[in-house]
Amino acid sequence: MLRLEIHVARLLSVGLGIGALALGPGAGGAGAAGTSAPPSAQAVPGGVALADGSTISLSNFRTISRWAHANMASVVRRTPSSRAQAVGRLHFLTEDDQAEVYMALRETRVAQTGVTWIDVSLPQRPNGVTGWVPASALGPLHVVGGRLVVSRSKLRATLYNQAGAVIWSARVGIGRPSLPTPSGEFYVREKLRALGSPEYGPYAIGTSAYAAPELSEWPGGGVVGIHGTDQPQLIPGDPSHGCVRVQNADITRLWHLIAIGTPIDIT
Amino acid sequence: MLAIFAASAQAHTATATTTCGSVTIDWSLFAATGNGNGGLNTPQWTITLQPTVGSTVVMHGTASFAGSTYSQTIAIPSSNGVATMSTWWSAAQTRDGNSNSASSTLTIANCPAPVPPVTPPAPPPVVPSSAAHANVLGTLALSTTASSSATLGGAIRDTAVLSGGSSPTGKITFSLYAASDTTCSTVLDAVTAVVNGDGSYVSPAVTPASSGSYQWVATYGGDVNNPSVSASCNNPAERSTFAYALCIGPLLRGVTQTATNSLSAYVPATSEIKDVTFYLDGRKLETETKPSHQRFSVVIDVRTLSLGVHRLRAEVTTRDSRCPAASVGETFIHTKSDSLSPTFTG
Repeated sequence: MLRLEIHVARLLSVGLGIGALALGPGAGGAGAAGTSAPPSAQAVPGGVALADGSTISLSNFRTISRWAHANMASVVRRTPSSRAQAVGRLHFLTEDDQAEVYMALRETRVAQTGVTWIDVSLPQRPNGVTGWVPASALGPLHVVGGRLVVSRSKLRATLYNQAGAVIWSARVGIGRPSLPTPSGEFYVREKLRALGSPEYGPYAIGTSAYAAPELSEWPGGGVVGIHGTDQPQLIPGDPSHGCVRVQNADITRLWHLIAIGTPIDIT
Repeated sequence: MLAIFAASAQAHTATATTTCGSVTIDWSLFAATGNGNGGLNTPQWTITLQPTVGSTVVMHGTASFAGSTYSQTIAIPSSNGVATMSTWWSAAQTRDGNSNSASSTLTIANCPAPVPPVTPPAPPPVVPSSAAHANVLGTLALSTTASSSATLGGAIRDTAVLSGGSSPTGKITFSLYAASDTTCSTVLDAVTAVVNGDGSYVSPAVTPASSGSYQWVATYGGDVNNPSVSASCNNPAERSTFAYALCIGPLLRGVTQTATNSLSAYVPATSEIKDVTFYLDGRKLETETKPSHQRFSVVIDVRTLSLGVHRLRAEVTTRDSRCPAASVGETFIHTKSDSLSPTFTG
């Protein structure tokens, strides 16, 4: 909670931004309420106990999304049952040794056991795998609003706030035809800075997307990042190994605007 | 405070159902207000209870539950013959530790002591010869059954069935011994019930001085028409176990979800806490006996730890010897600094 407050304060200081700041009272989706709204205005789904068997949406990838770190290395199941097929396991660290992030999609309470489960998006290969874990396996849910859209056909990335307004846009470089940037719905897993590698520029953003085909020389087969560059002349274009490259001035501004957990829609 | 998920003070004692020796209180409308971090999880509540009869605290314990209602049966010392009970409670939403508290006064029925018979007179005696818990003297029989266990500041009690008597009067004495006292030589506590004919008699509630296993022995003292009769020692049906629940619900604060360099955590000091011992991944770090600035605190140099998940645990001992040590733990993830060369595909 303290971290969220600090983050909100930072976004407020630049007068822009998405993420935690962008939540407003009555703002659609799963019923977000403003972080600054008075308590009397609150009507939070999940703020009361879920009825047995009921399921609520936690993220709509546009106006409100929720994410969490892992609390334990729980097995991820295909359905909300401890006997369901395993599709993965929660882990604590990203390939860059940052705290791993799980997008929370839905929450359900199983009538027979009374256990609450959360459907999460797994940052792993292949892209798009989801599965259920007990709510106790995750830490507190963090809230973000807005999304980043990367258009491969237009070679442009655009950041929208929770109200749908454009707050950042820039031309991009994407993966070359043999190493294409994957399409799909992903999210921000980590934010890195002072990188010490000129080819990444001053800042980098790690995503939940993995390059296709698998790149054996990179840990995890190649995490798709959004970062700066030491070859600005190649942007816009398709020069990368799957990452999204932007000009260094653009990544500097995006890095300060975007929050961990922000959805990324690559079209 | 942004993104709070605060425990609401909407909860009040809704109903109180009384029986002799106990009261069942139903709280309702535990509601979370606020939203943001953690706001969509099912609230997990920790409630701290401290009901009093007059100035006597009859229970002090904590319980965790989910949902919007909570019910707790509390034993009342029957000798008080109470008519009212005050309850103090606080509720904390465990996802973020925010809490609220309130108190209320219940009006409950008088409970005369000792406890009268709770069932009509029993039919003529049918006493199995092999019944270990039946003590037969002539035609008068006494069979007994103890409550199995109690926690959360509750109490244990015994039940005796007197049968085959000739309009017996007098009293039944329920004596409590340690389960390890195989000769029933040291009485730890004794309570009585007035006899008014054959029937089933429930002992007043007894709250042992410490957690452990106990056994009962019931004795009918006899009257001019009936001989005395006693149940036997070491009767398996007469065993009760008792465990004090946590007398204090310790709070471990300051454990961030992720840590790169150092981590400072603390347990807020209260007059009930004697000392706090901190453990990291099961390894003892230090014991704090004197709080500083109202806190028992610890600072961890995270850089010396391996990357990944770690668990900090605080074990609290209390000044009340009846209360077992309370323990609370939190996990955190040790990460690298965010200043590094990434592993992205480029």
